[in-house]
Amino acid sequence: MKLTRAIKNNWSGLLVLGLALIAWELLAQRDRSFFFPPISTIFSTFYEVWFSPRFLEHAIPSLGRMFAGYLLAAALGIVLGMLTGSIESLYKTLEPFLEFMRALPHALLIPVGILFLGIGDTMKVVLIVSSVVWPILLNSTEGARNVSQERLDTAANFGLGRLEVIRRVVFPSALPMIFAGLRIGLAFAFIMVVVSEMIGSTNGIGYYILNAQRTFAVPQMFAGILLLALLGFGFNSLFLWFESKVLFWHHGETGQLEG
Amino acid sequence: MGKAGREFNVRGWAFVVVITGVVELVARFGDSPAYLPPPTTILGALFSGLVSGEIAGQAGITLLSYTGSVIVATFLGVFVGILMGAFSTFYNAIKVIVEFLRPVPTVSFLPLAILLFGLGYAMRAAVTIYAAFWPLLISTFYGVRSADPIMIETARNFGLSRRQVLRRVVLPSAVPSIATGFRISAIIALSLTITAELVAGNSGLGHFIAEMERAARYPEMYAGILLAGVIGYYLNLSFRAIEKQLLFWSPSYRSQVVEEEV
Amino acid sequence: MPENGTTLLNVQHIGKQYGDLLAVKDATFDVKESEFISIVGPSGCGKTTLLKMICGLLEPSSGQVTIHEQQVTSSVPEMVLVFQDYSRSLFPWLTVRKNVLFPLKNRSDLNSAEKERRAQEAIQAVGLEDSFDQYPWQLSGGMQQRVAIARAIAFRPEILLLDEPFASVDALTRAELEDLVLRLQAKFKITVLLVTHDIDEAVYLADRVFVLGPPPSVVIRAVTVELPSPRSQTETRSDPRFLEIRNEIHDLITKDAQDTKDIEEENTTEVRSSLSNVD
Repeated sequence: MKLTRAIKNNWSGLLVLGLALIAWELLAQRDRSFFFPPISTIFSTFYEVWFSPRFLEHAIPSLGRMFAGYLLAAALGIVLGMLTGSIESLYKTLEPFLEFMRALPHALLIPVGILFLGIGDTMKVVLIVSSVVWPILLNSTEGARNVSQERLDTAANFGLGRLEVIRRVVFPSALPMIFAGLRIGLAFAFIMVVVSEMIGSTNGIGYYILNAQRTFAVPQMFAGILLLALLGFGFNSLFLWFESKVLFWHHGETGQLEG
Repeated sequence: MGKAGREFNVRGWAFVVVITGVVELVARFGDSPAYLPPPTTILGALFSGLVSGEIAGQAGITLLSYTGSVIVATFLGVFVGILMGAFSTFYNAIKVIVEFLRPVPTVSFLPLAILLFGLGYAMRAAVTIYAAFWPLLISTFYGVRSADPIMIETARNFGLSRRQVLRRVVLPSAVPSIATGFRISAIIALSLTITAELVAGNSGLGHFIAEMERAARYPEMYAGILLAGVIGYYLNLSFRAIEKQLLFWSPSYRSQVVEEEV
Repeated sequence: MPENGTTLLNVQHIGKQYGDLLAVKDATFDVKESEFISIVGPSGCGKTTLLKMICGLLEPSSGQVTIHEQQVTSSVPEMVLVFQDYSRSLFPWLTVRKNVLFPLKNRSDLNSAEKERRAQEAIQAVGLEDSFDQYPWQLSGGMQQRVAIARAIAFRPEILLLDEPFASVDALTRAELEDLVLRLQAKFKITVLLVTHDIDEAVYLADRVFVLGPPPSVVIRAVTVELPSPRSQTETRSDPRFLEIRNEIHDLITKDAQDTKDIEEENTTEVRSSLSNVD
């Protein structure tokens, strides 16, 4: 079974992890540290907090915003990326602007967003989109620009129209790069949802964690961090699995597996 | 993209000017809210802020803290990365922890950092170092791991000890990967320093921007954002140029994890 | 061997200039139906550029190409080009079958049963029936090139252009593929233009060989290959006439490389003479 094989391969890592957790538990119990409650307390608080209506109150809105923003940004980024990558003049025109947006720390858009859109879900989704769209757009563009000339020539040779070429040749060719952008975008979506909830929100996981810190509810803060960690790990794994399914041909072609 | 010394992209900058011009007209003559000041006003605020030192000082604080954090993160990341790449026992021991922590966004730990370190430099540094550590760790690890086995065999053939092989063959061949990881780390570090300042800092450019927003001094707020973007833009350009220099001899190492554009 | 048939393709004084570089200076020739033409020349003499201009993928800086007396200004369905680098021309996300079906996808004049039939026919013709549902990257180099050829054949072009198609495969596979192309030509009655740097291959395959000089290139000579057909790797290649022709071409190329200027002046316009010192 896959799980037993995973355990067997990683036994020393799991052992070290286990030892670290035990060490934490023992030290925390002994020192009664305010800042690092025992693991057992964290776990029990985790259960208490997230297996309760609080999940609905905070986790669901966070996830909802993140997905809405991510999917919107993906659609926008990929479509625009295909166009920008295929039409050289468009790319040249937008290049400085794109470079600037890529380099700007996107959290800075939050104060602007709050001014224009208030502190609602719209603001957060818009901000997530305005951060996530850049890596997706840029990678999609790059992917579209790197289609081999032979493939483009083949398509032209067989009389394919411009749009058809983009759909049937450019887009599949660019998929590896698109997925690279999507992966980065996922990380950005996470970050933006958390930060936007820390700065301007009344609910959400980010809000919850920061609020717990402000009210010195330390175990609750850790419970929130742990939830984020699990969600982050979970989505990342899901994404990698999805990518390996869609890009099986690319892995086969290049003879390598994603790290 | 962004190569130093490329021909000047007239069209691209013309586009920027045109958009700015449109915003200018709308902001100045249209019925626009106070929080959309004309770009010329923003530029004016930026200029006077730089001259008076108000913005410049804050930017300086950010950059100082940023630089220190990047240096520390680089040493840590490269060191642990080499350990992970070269010694499989070590790698096996910590890989579970690494794989679990790696996808967790650093901002999740921001409240913890605030709790531990308050609102000053230490908090910012801790968060930045933690965030910048990961790309360097991963890229160093990959760089070391992907050293060409034939190269290594050749070196062993010539009588080099394991340690010498590491130092003289493996590490140099890992440099391109590390360089790319460094660039990514440097960008992430800037983003995090500023984000930390924005959320809960007491100084620095991010804090300045938040302050200006609270004080409803919108031109100054935008000026700060613009400055942050410009700093990021030029840092990105410089790091890409440096990376290119370090990479010029390497065949396609880019098939690794750091292939993507961040 | 072509019967003295109709002229299919007419290439008149085409040239290509890239800024300062004159890649192709002047190429002028006719191609008849069902002919097998080899174009041979030293590396970098613009053979690929020439092929691309002929089939409409590249616009010539001067001159024109006509097929059936219609001028070629962009890609035409009568001509298909097979590239040297098959890994960069095949679609790795499609199976062999789907790759071969690709050119037929938007042919509204065919129903899907007919499309499948044509694809099947093409794949069988190149000998890959067992690899229908495999992906190109699962196949060897020679097999991948066959897929590319099958894809071109499925489109049923009148002229098949091949750009150094066997340069990336090993010698044994190359011999197989050479014979494959000859069989395909006979079976589907296509006209073939094959570019190669291998003189032996050029002579082995062709009815006529166009010899190209170094850039800025012109067609130095069109050599008629009067050797018995069907060709055989062992018999044809040991035929004394084969050796004569290939040596002649070899001398043409090397001599030309030494004194390009003289030949240029001599042959700047059309090449009329087809040398037949073969009997």
